[in-house]
Amino acid sequence: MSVRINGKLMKHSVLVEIRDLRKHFSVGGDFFTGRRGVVKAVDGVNLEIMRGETLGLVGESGCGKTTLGRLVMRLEEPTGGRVLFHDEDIIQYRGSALKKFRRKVQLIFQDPYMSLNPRKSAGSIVGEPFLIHGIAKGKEKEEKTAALMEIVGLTREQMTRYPHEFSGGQRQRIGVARAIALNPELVIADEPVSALDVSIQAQILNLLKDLQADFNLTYLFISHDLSVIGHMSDRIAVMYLGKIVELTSKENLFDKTYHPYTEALLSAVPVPDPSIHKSRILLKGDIPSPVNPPSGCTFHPRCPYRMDICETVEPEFVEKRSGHYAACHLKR
Amino acid sequence: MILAENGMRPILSINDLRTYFETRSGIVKAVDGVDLSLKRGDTVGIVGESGCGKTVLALSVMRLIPIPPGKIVSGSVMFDGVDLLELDDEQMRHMRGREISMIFQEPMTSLNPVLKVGDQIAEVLQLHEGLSKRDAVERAIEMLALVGMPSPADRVRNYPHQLSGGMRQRVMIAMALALRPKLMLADEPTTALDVTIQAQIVDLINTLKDEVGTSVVLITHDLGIVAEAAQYAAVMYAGKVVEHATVEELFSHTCHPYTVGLMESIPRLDQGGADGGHLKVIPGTVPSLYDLPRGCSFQDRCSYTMTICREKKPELKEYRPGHSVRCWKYV
Repeated sequence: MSVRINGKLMKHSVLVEIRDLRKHFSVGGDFFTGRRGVVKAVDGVNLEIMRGETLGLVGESGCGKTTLGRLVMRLEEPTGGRVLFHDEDIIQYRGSALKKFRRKVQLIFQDPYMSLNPRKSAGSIVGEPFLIHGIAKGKEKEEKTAALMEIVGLTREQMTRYPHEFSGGQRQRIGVARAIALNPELVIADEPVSALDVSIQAQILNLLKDLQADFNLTYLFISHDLSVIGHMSDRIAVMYLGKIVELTSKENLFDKTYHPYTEALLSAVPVPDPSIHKSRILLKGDIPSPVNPPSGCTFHPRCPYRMDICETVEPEFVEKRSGHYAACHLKR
Repeated sequence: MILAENGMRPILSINDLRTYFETRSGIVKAVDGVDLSLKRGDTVGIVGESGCGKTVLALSVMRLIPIPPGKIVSGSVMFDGVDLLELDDEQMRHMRGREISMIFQEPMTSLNPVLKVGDQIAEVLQLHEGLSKRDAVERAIEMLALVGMPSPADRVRNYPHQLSGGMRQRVMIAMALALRPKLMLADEPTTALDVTIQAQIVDLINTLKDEVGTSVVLITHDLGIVAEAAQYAAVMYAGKVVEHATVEELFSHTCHPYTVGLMESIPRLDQGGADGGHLKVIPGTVPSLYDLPRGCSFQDRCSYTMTICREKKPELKEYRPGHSVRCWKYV
């Protein structure tokens, strides 16, 4: 498969293949109806992550993007479907094979205030992966840790400080250092800049770009912020209520959308330019509860282009034009 | 500094407002000499990042600053000709809700979790207009319909946790506008919401503003929201307004280096998600409010710092018509 990375069309191998992945959670006592329900957090996702690319995964609250990220890392076990890493089904990993897998796929969390152990020093947090995987200890670990601190823009002197002594942006740098400590192949960044101020966001995004180039990283970049996704990604997957509704390169997506939800998402992003008066597509209503997804196309209640078929038949995820996929009954 | 035209008195005019907090570690000058004015019927966007003082500014206008440790040290807040800082508690209580209201960032933590939302809106009407509970709830349903809540008659009986973030924010807006106040302060009203819901709420605020005849102070860190919703904008940094202009002016002739830096550091969709590689970054971080430098607070992060910047604090001065900047580069 060919992917455009940094403007160049490259043939890339598939690093992760996700096939018909499902994750259902059962919930007790839904407060609206009192019934036990099923949350279909991830409901039949097919996706490939190509080596070296940044695949942006965008969607709003409850769409399942975080759960999908966790499934790829095997922090959740799927209800159905498979995740293949280098053509191997990750569900079968045990013991040392699982540990080896863990070294190759790492996670950067959203909340810099909650994702660091407040009782461990920065150096201890960043160096922990070396201990867990038996890679280094003592002086060697100190050196490797210090090097990592500097790579992410902190100083080795800061290794002895505790998380509460750092700002949000600095804490996020610690999280990033921890994630790249073992030279992973894939880094899943789950809303890595959402909790940060605008000017700090820019610093962290730049850091992530540099690290990708320096360490040959592949990113699964999860965010609700389309501007950030647009800036970082080579390809973009749009998720709604547990399903991928549109998937294509960034250039294709900004050129034309095939799914009305993507169109509405793009239109909803406020543009910092008062001379641009967008005709906004305002979606009616709220994002439906994943416990009670609508029939047919799950987007139909909010869709400005809804047709009769949309209420009853779930659209298939098909290639609408070269390299551009969407699940929608509309002919555009 | 008055932006009013035709001699019309601005609905809100803040002059040299200073709100300080006395803490064990020193004095925090959260709001340190802010001038701002708002014409009737307009929206002014207050833009800034965490710690710049925008929320303390709004709370100062509402006289909701905890005193102590806070203290409104000096300045005046002229609201429709009355200095709010001169009012006693009783008079100010009369103002809040009826003449000036506020909506907060986190609708979950601002609504009372143990009261039904209908009762919370009704409370405003019972207290200020002496309505009976039954009449107040009827009006609450009307307000919910006005703010675009689906099935308002059912929603009045819900508790906040039963509603989504967007719906809770609509409840807050309903509460804030129930008495048709002259001024509404909205503190990051859309930050905690999904972008499609954000768009609905911004649209709602714009529409209602005209219908109800309210002027709005919209506090946000999102320059996109300012561009869409405001006529005027004030950029805040470390407790001061560093730039104040019409929205068109702010974006077309950005002056203050901090504002320029902010604009350049945002990833933008309207540039087709152009992969320029790197975003231009403002180096460094906001100085500690306990320990602001002598001279301009932005000196250590600015590309244009001159000697005078390190010695004297610049004043907010008009640089172009309707456009003021606090920067030695523009004097």
